[in-house]
Amino acid sequence: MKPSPFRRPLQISTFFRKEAVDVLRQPRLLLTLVAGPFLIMAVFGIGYRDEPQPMKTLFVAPAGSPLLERVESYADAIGTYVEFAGTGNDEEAGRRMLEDGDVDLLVVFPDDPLDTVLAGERAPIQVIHTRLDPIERTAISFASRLAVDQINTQILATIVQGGQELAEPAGDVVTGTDAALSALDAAVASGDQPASRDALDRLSITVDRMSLSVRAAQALSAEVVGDGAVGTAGDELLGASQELSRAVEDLRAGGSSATSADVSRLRTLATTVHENFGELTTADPEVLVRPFASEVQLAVDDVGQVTDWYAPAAVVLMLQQFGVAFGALSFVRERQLGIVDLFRVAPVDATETLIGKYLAYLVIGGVIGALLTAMVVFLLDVPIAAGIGQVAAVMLLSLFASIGLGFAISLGSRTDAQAVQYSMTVLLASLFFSGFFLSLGQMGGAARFVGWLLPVTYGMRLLRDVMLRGTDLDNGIVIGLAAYGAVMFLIALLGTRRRLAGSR
Amino acid sequence: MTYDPPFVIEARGVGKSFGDQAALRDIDLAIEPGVVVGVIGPSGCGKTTLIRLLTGISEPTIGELRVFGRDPRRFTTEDRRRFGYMPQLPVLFPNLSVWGNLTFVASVYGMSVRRRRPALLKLLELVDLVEHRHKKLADCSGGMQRRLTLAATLVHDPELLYLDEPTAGVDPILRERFWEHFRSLRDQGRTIVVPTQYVGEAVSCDVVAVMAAGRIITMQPPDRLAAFAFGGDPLTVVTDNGWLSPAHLSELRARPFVRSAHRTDAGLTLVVEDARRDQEAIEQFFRDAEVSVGSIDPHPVDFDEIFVRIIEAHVEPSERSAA
Repeated sequence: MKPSPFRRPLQISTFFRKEAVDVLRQPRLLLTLVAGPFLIMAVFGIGYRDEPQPMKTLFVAPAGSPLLERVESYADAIGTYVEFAGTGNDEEAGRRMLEDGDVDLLVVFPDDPLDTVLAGERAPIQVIHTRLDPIERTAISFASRLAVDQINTQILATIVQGGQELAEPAGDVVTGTDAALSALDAAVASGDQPASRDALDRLSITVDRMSLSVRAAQALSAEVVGDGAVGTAGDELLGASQELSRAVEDLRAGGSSATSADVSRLRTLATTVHENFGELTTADPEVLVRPFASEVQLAVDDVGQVTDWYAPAAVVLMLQQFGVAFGALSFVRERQLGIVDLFRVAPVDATETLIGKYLAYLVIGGVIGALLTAMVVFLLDVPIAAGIGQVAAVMLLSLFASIGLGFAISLGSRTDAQAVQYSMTVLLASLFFSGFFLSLGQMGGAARFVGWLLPVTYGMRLLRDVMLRGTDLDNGIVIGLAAYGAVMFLIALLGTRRRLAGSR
Repeated sequence: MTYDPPFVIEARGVGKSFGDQAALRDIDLAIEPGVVVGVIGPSGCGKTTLIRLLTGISEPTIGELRVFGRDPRRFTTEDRRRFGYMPQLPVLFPNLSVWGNLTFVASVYGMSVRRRRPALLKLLELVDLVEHRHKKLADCSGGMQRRLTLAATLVHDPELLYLDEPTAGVDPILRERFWEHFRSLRDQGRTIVVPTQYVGEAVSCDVVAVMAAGRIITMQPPDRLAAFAFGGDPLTVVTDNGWLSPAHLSELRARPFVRSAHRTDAGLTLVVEDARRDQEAIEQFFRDAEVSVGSIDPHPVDFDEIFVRIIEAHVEPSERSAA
């Protein structure tokens, strides 16, 4: 029989057809591949809670502790994390409630916080829980820190408020300065020099007293909340007060008559002192001790839902598992069926075999990826910020690399059970190391290295960029993924050649 | 079809071991084109291993092997197109239909899409699967799968065929049709190597290689196998007027052309060096002994008996368990 001149395309197409029929003969599997991830994303989107679940918290302090009186308001202040479940004096009883699941958290205040603080040490507030999930433990630890900061802030605010109340009488001094300035103004206007000197002497006395009050209030605030927290108002107050003192003393020492311009300058300085002094003593102590508030803004449009973040990752992960699972079973199944003997004796090359298989899985995987993407975009409202061509390119590259990984697994497996097990390991590694749940930045060393051994790590990052951020493809990652795919292709080609060469 | 050297298959001192286990030992073969070679032996005697060496799937541990004058390990794509291999177990794709499997193999062998249909239908007719061509292979019986595997082996019309137990699980009528087809292929100059456990199929072969314990014990035309098994030509002598006396029997056994002689109910079973040459001497002996002979015919032995005798005579008892 004379072979067709189109022998190679014929062989490639027959392997393509065989693999395609093999997959398409399993419609339920295909439906699962498309509908499964979509339904998971939809249920996840509906069920995900943006706010943390408040934890039922019991507060324990020694009997008579003043902290217990205020603890309910503390709980309100940190209400996002805490659901107030009561107070008590018996730590052991609290621990039993915790163990029985009646409460989620037990907060134990120290016996003698004042003694500890006066001894120059921080008084510890114990937060006791029974959660084992590391993420929950981190959240509790983080929330505890926030809560203790909140309590500390409240205590600081109380102290600052006391300082403000102490500084209140200095307001009389400010009023006296205003009166002396008005007298000086009138004396200068009337040209009455003795009255002018007299007014300057009175002004000097009130300014000195005012400077003293200002320094005291400023020092108190700075001591309590730190220089940074007192901020611009404190600096301006002190500067203006010092400048006013110098100006008054200069006029007195000069002996010459004060002019209207001098009076005007003194009034400006006094006004500055007055305003800043008022600001310092009447400002909300809560704001003074916590002057900055954070406002977080996402500089990426159209991304708000939690599914927006996870959908591209789920699509790539699905494509990876399709490529890995079908690739992994491909050769090992042929070997188990004995079909490999047919190929060993046939005039067929490893290249045609491999290209045919690659094409089949690329086409079917591509269709699955397109359907899945269309569903998450149109039904879950996940954006595609960049061009559809870039999305398609990422999917095909991810599939190419994943199919190669699957073939490499297949060629290294003796049974289909082994191949399935290896595929599951790849899936598990992908969930941990690819950035699906935990950012790759949180990993170090070996974990990050393992992450980059998975096609999904590259694909996920690229697809999130093009779908959510609308940025161009990161050339470095694209080259990395393409190189990964090429290396896997070579491994698969060498393995296929070796397999077709026979069992020696 | 010409070969240089003139043998399609040649093997000299070929052996194959798996670890310490010798699967094949001292295999010598020289098979001319245009013959049907039966390879008969018990399960596990090395028939399939031999075929795998001949196809190039496995390589010998020792010895020299040539197929089409070339080491099978160095077969080119063109060499592979010249032979067909039907493995012992059905090895096609369970998710493809009967027709899909056949067209898959046709494409692998580069058969033109436009010209393949009549040829493939003819093959399906041979294996009686035309009616079932749209059935998924997984839904076919084991026998149907084997028949399809045979059809797939014949798709590219190869010069040399290795058919490993092609009639296993096939009904006798279809089995006879297969052998007719094999003989017709042989008549067209094709060479066919058929390992089989059906000893009776030896009669359909031109040459039979009897294998046991990894060795080829003998390679004979089927009509010479009996002589090999009995150490000469077995004859049945029917006497009309009684048995030979013990003294005459001893005298007969002492004749140089007689290998053995045993009394039977009807007369005597005699093994002689050459039945045709020694016929007259036998008749003369009985005349001298005054015993009337009704008939002297070749002893009716079946191939099972021949096979058992060969194994018993040439395989050590310790090797027989493996055989």
